[in-house]
This record gives sequence, C-alpha cells and structure tokens, in this order.
Amino acid sequence: MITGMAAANALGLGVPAMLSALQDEQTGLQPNDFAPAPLPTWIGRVTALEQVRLAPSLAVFDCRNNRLAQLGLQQDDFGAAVAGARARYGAGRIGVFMGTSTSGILTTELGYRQLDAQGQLPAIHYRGTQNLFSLADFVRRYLHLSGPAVVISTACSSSAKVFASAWRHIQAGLCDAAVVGGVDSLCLTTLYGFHSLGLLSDEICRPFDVRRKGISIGEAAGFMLLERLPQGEGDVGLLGYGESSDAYHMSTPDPDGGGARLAMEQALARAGLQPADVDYINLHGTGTQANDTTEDTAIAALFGSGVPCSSTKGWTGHTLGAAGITEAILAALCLRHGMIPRSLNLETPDARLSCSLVRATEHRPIRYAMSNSFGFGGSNCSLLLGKVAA
Amino acid sequence: MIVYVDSVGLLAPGLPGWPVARQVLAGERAYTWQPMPAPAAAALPAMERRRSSETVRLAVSVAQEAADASSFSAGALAAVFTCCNGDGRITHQICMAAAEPEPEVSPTQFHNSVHNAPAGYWSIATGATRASTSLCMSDASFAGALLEAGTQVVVDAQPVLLVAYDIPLPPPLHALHPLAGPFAVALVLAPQPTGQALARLQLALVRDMQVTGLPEGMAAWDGHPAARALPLLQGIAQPAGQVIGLPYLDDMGVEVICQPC
Repeated sequence: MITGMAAANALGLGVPAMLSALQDEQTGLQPNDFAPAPLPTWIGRVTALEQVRLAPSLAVFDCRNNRLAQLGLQQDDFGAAVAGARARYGAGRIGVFMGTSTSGILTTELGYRQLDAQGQLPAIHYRGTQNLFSLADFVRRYLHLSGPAVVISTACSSSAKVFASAWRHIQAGLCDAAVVGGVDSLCLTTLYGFHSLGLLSDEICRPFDVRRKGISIGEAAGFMLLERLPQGEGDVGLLGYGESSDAYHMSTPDPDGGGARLAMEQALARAGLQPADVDYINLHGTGTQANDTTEDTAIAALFGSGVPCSSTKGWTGHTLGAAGITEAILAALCLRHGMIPRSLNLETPDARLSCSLVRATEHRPIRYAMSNSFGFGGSNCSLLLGKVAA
Repeated sequence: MIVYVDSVGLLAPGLPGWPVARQVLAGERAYTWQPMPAPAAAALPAMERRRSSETVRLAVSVAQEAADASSFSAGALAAVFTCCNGDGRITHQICMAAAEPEPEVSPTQFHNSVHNAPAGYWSIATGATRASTSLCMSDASFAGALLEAGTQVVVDAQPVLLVAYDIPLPPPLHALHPLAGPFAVALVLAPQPTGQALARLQLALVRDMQVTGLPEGMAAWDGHPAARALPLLQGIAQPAGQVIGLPYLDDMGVEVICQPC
C-alpha cells in the first residue's frame, strides 16, 4: 500500500500542486533558461532549487540533484509518514530504493569548465555528488533509515523498476517497508546528449501529435512510502509490475513493441487482471516519433483501442530517471481523485496511431491505472496501481 | 536466501577466466598481476562491438563466459548488472565536450554513457528479453547486487545472471576514486541445484559482521568495488561450509555461508 507520497517538479512543490496543475490543465514547461546549457528547447525547471541549502552534517552531498531530493522530501508531510514507519518497523527494516540517470554529475560537468593549468578538477565530493549512489545515500541519511539501499540506473525506467526491487526485498524478508522514488535534475550530459540524437524538441513536447519533434527534459524528485498493511476499501496500492528488455537497439525502441508488450502483460498477470480491467494508461509518451509509435503498437496489440490513454509529459516534461515515480504519483492522484487527464499540448493526433488518446480530461471514478516507462538500452517497466477491495 | 552457483565468469589482470582463477583462489597456483587480455566480447555483433565502450566489452565478456558455461541458455536468464563508477572514459569525453564554448556531444557516446549500457548491449547480443537491471551502491555495489539477485532468484524462482564490473577512471577523474585496474565477475545463480552447481550459498543481511579479507597475494585489489567479490569467489572455488563476510552499508554486511553441493 502507498502510505506516503511526496514530489517536487516543474508543476510545483508538493503533490497538491501536481493535482492543481492537472485540474487547471496548466503545463509546468517553459522555454529553456538554464544558463549552463543555452539550447533552444523547453524544460521543466524547479526554480525553488536555487534557494535550497543542505544541513551542515550533509554538506558532502551538496549538488543540484540532492538539493532537489531534499526539496521533495520536505513536502507532503513525508518525513512524518516515514517517522511513523520507523516507529512501527525500526529504522533498519525500511529499505530505500532510488532511481536516477545522472545523479550529481552537473557538479563534475561544471568542474570541467574550471580545470586548472594542470588539467585538474576543483575539489569534488565524488561519493556525495556525481556517484549514482549518492542519491540513496543522501535520502537514507536524511530520513534516518538504516536498512538496505539500492540505486537503479536504467535510464527512463529507473524509478519504475525501484517498485519491483522494493517488492522483492520485502517478499524476501530483507525489509518490511520501503521508500521508493527517484530524482533527476538538469545537466549538460542529458541536454546536449538528447540534442545530439535529434531527440530534443525546440518547441514544447507534443506526445502522440503528428508534428511531434522530441522530448522536453524536466527535473523532478518523487517519493512513495510502501508498506504491507491490511487494506482499507479504496486505498491505492501497487498491484503489479512487469519488467522486460527490448534486445533491439541502444537508443531506438523495437518497432514491433514486443518488449513493451511483455512488460505490460507481466504487470497485468502479477495483478491478476485482464487488459479490459484497466481504466487508464499513463503512457511513457515522450513525444519522440519512435517512442510514441512503438508504444502505440504495443498498446494496440494488447488493449486494442478500448482503454483511455494519455501522456502527462506535456505537464512535467520527460523527467528521465524520475519519470517512473513522477508518473506513478500522477496515476495514484488520478485513482484517488477520479480523473483521467488529457494528453497535453496535443493539437493534431497522429492518425497512424490507434490507441484511444484522451482529448478532454474526464472526471469519473477509476479503479486500475497502468503507468509505462520505457528507457534507453531497451529497459521496459510497467506498473499497475489500483484501489484494493477491503 | 539460498541460491546455487551454476557457473562463473571472471576477467581481471592475473585472472583470465574462471578455470585459471579457480586454481589461483584454491591455492593451486600463485597469483601474479599480468596484464589482462583485451575482452573479446565475441557475443556482440561486429557493428555493436565497434560502437561499444570498454565497460561494455568487459561486462559482456564475463557475462558470456558465465552464460556459455551455464546450464541455462542466455535468453532464460534475468540479469543484474552492477558497477560503482560507470565508464569513466565516456564520462570524461562528454564532460570535455560539454565544457567547450559550443558543446557537441557524440550521439553514440551519449547512449553508451547510460549506466545500463552493458546490460543493454548484453540483451541485444543474446536476444534476452527478460528483466535486466543496472545498479550502483558505490563501494557496496557487489554485495548489494548479490542481495538484489538473491531476491530475484528466491521470489521469482528463476535463474539470474549477476555481473559486477569496474574500470579505472582516466585523469582528471582518476583522483576521485583511484582503482588498481579493471575487474569483472559474473555468476549464474539458480533457485535449485543444477547438475554442475559449484556451491550452495546462504545469504543474510547482518549487522556487526566480521569482514573476510582478500585472498592472499591480492592486496592490490583493496578498495576496488567489483573485486570485493574475491573472498566469495574463493569460497566458491573451495566450498567447505565457510562463512564469508562482505561489507555492505554502515555496519551492515552480507554474510554468505558457502556449502558444497
């Protein structure tokens, strides 16, 4: 069961800001004003980040990514929820499972712009910043937890796969509860990297639009607290997950959508559900020609055009290693508040795509929602969230 | 958690493959630091091999040794890859490119820079569509991945390929985490004993654990995240009920009891 959620992203600070943005159909994306990488594109920026300061005891973790992590952890009474879990299980029985693609690499990237005469970097706390594990290390210390910790870095599926890892660690008895989530922040590697692949749109991203030109990168921090608890009617929980590999190409998805389909099928199987049971699919829907086409092929094969689908990346941008958790939070909000959001920034749907794309946001109770995250290297993860029966 | 070691792959200076390494670890031959043969990564199609990076070729080569020696086909294995520092050469080149007044990053380098590049290339080479993950727990990357692989073996009752690798970082990154050399190890772990199983491992997460030292003559590997597997590999080479302690996080460790099969 999901007993806590917290977020900080371009839509604002805290989960209520995300809900308001969905209801008001207000994007969090803006023209790029990130000074270190002045590329013509749109971004999802967390402006409050510039004012964040870490406690002196955590100074070795100071970098953009961990500041964003802290900002997220301060929202939504998440600290209190975790404190309650600590009291119930003990700090050593709560695991931390985080996804990130670039962690604190911005610190090193900017350091390369300041190499000294001998080509040496300015002083960097490597394990606290650039290293991928610094995120889980920071979160663990910030929350005073002392159980197992994992960082998964599988590009865009990272903070969806953390749910699977947490589930298994709990099943295997290594912990009794889990803080899962992910954080990724603006950096040169991803902005210039996606640009070099021709995947960074120079306009706001338009998932599933016929004129879609690529992604808008967003930064985000998201967290959930997961516990095995007796379920109250209507509580939202993780019902299933599916993971697969494309085994096709490093940066292009398999056009047959086979890997994506496998992940979705597994999630349904673990949840004991049929495709027709799903009320809403939150698409990976990045806004690239290749992803959206492939994802549509997989969805059409499994669900036909019977299930409402939308991408919420038009709101948050593609938050890369934080996409899984950010969109799981959005799916949970939709379940709790009875909402199926439209696919934002869509002007002309691509007529070649056949899934049932939501054009106007609906307000009605839903029970089961799927969230897809498909990443570079063909790493696919599909989550099934839903309301449980008492 | 109980898992069975079905096969091993190993590649590092002085440890060119499991047959030789097993003899060294069992005390049947001395360990000497010899330059490592260049990883063949023969499983990669020629075009992918040309585009691949050093960490990809290293990880794929050890994965291949373990998979070739395994009772299971490569396609039947879920995969857990783990690495502390990623590919430092690529990190360096991207950072250098991004520091230019007009930054231009190579697209191939960018998709090779993702932490799951070795895992991705492995699945492309083998056509394996099962779940694959890529982890980083800093210096505890091996122990943490052993736990993750263990949960997959036990909870999903499936065989898992565990691959741990790390290579030195080039300057100026080298100073951030100096490593003695490249090291990579792969283990196929199974839920039941296979006909060729090398050892039965009982894994537990414990506190205040006694850390098992590196095998004799291998002090040069002290501090190398992937080489933290060496005490466990020594146990697998001669399982006799010994308790191996692998450091994990803070005061925690992963305790492994190695039994013969």
